[in-house]
Amino acid sequence: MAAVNTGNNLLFLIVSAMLGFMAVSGVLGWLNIRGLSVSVHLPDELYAGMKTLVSVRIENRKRFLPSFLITAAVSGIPTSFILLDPRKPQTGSLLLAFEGRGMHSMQPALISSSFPVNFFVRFTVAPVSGSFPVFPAPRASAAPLQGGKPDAGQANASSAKGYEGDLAKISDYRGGESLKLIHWRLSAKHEVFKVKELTATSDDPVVLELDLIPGGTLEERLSYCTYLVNRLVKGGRPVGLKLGERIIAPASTRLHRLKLLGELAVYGKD
Amino acid sequence: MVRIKGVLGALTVCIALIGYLPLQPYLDPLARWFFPASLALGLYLQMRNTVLPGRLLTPLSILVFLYFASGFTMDSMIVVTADLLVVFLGIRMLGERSGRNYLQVFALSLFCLAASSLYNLSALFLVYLLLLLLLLAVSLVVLTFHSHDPEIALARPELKKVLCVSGLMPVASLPILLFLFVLLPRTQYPLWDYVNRSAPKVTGFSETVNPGGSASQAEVKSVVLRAICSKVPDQMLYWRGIVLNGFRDNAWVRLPAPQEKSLRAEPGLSVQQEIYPEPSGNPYLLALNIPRTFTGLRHSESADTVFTVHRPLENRTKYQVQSVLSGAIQVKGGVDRDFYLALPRTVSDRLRAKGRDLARPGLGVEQKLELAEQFFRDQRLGYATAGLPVGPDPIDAFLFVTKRGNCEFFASSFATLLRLAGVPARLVGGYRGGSYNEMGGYYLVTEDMAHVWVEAYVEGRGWVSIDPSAWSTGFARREGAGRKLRMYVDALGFYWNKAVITYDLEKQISLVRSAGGRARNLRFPERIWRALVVPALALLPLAALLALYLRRPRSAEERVLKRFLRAARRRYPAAFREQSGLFELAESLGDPHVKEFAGIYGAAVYRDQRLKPDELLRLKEIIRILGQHLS
Repeated sequence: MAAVNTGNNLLFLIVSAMLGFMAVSGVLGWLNIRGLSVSVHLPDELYAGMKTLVSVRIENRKRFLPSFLITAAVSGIPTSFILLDPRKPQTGSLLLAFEGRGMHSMQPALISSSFPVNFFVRFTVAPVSGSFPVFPAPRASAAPLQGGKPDAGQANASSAKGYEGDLAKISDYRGGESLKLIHWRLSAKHEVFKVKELTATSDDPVVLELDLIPGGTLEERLSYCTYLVNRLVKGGRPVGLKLGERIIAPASTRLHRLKLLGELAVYGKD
Repeated sequence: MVRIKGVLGALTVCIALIGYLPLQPYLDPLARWFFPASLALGLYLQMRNTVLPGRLLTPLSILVFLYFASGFTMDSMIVVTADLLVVFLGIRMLGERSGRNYLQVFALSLFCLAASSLYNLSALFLVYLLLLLLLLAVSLVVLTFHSHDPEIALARPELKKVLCVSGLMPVASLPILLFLFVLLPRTQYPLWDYVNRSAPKVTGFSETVNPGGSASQAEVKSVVLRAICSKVPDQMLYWRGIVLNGFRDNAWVRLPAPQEKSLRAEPGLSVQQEIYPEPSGNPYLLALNIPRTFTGLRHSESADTVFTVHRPLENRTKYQVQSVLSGAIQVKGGVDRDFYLALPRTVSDRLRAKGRDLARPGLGVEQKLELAEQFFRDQRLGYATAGLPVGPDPIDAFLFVTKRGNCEFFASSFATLLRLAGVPARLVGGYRGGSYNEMGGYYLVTEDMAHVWVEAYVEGRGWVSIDPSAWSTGFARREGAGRKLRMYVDALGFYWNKAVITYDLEKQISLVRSAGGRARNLRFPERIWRALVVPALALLPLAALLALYLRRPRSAEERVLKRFLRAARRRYPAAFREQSGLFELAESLGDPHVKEFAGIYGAAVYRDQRLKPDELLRLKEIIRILGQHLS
């Protein structure tokens, strides 16, 4: 019989349209989270267990299609981007804490999006390259080691940073600074966070011997040592380190301090 | 900055309107007015940034449901459902603006549009559907932004990008729509048949001809049928439908026809037609006079060459007819003369006298016909569709007083005169003329072309067609302005019906068959081509298989290693090094599962042994765990 099912065809049209739409939205959702590269910009100083501000840079490497409503989770902490234009990287920030000292490497970032239709959330992973040291968590030493008294009448303000002095200069956030010191207004205008550097005072060289630092366990001693290195170098005092038989000569530069902290981070982990 | 909330609100109103508009003409008055009222109230509330609380709307929904459900019967099912859908849609426009409610509005609108297809099959549906599809796609995307953060605002260029990309979706889904529409499995019987609407229509074609019934004839331009066929001379465009052979009082009606053997039409031009009738509610199949064979539809044929279907044509359908354009139907063995000489209740004296004059002995049938025609011409009768004679004897008034009438007057008075003269005669109802659509290659026949003419029985020739209206003055149809545009619009509707509305299981099957047939009958023009193409086609799958085989890891060990490496690469995209060895990899990744895999695998394979079945199982388990970790 010819043409007995008229009328149904309009319903078939609706069903076809819905199925077609589902298929296309699936493909669009798949395209949406593809071609994204994630890089994480870590500050120089990361301390075990301490929350640090990390910037996440995400780039849509597709040629034409923008990506919408992207959530990138780094180490489980998400940051959201409403719209990522092709070839125009965007930066977000998040507070991360790393457990335990030593060399760490980044877990792949988990990229998710509910675009285009909020029925499903699609996931993919994007590799985040690089390994980095996490320094032992600093712990205030009970020992009365001070930044050194200035000679009488010579209250020489050192160029090293402190926490209380006058504003000496503005520099980039490196991760060790207290969040109190971040200059939020300036940071908003730059790609990296800006911190206020305040003045402090300086003194004579000292070599810290890890084995002689008081503390129950190695980790405790490392924590105290970290604290001392920071406190003393920031106080302007050249600091060296004796790790077992190895001796690192004292110096008071920032690079030197990072070198010492790096040694402490991987000590005993080889 | 544009607030997403506002965009979503506007889109939702548009979507709700698209749901409502196609259904609007068919709704109960309450539902018809409820929706615009609630839409207006909803917009007002939106401006005031408030909504009606759920504790008010839920009881309202229940009340409305009870009200409409109380009128529910099997016959009114569609009406009640449509009313409820529209009213619920209205109520939704008043309520809280959450993601769930927006989705409800979208779904209800879609259902409304689907329900409208039970009332109306016009091509306008496609416009509504495409518009709805576009708006739904955009709205669902905007809704996703809304659920991300209801207060989100986008800069104009950003919003433009969002709208563009979401607008691309329906466009991209159109080819899939077409593909699926053709492919989706059809049932042989309609899913909705039990709710089939009966569609009574104003029609020019009727089963009784009663001149004088009304003073004017309606000029309805609605479509009766479209017939694909070659162009035929205008004076031969008579579409035969029904034969009226007797009387009820003074009206011509169709009585059961006496048995006679109509043989075939006189030789003439043979025309093949494919006819797409509009649903008419009557069982008569129309075709060019004189139809010989019908196919494509179960039908029965009566002795007077009237073809009927068993159930009135309420659905869209099509059939094929072979007609012979000739002037007479040959009959074997004569006709029932008494039956075809019966007279109406009222015949005026003047007409009776004229009949007697023609019935005088010595005149042959042919002469009688000539004299009758001469009489009609002498009366100088005019063709008119308004100011028709009414009163106790309209035929007499037509012939002798006003001398103005339509085809019904011409045909019935002429047939009566022939019967008075002793010539068996009957009326044939159908249509006269048709606009040929050059673009579509079909005739369009509309209700205003309804026509009645006469068949007179001539010994030796059979039933001869005579159209007394043709002798009138002013019987010529004029072409209205804008015909071309109307033809284009009509062609659009025609193709819609042909391609979409009447698409069914049978067409699906024939499509598959013809595709198969074409594949089988594939011919290559030259020998050299066959020599090249056929082996190439045969070799192609073989080559593909070979390639697959060559790329396939040869042993279970290789396969499991390949799967493992794939899983590990997905699990540790950063640390994974393609070139590093298995143990090196295990070391660098530091995953105990990877180490275990390396251990088991290395222990066997690097000593040139095969993996034991339980080892293989464990390795597969590890791969599964690696994969799971990821999600």
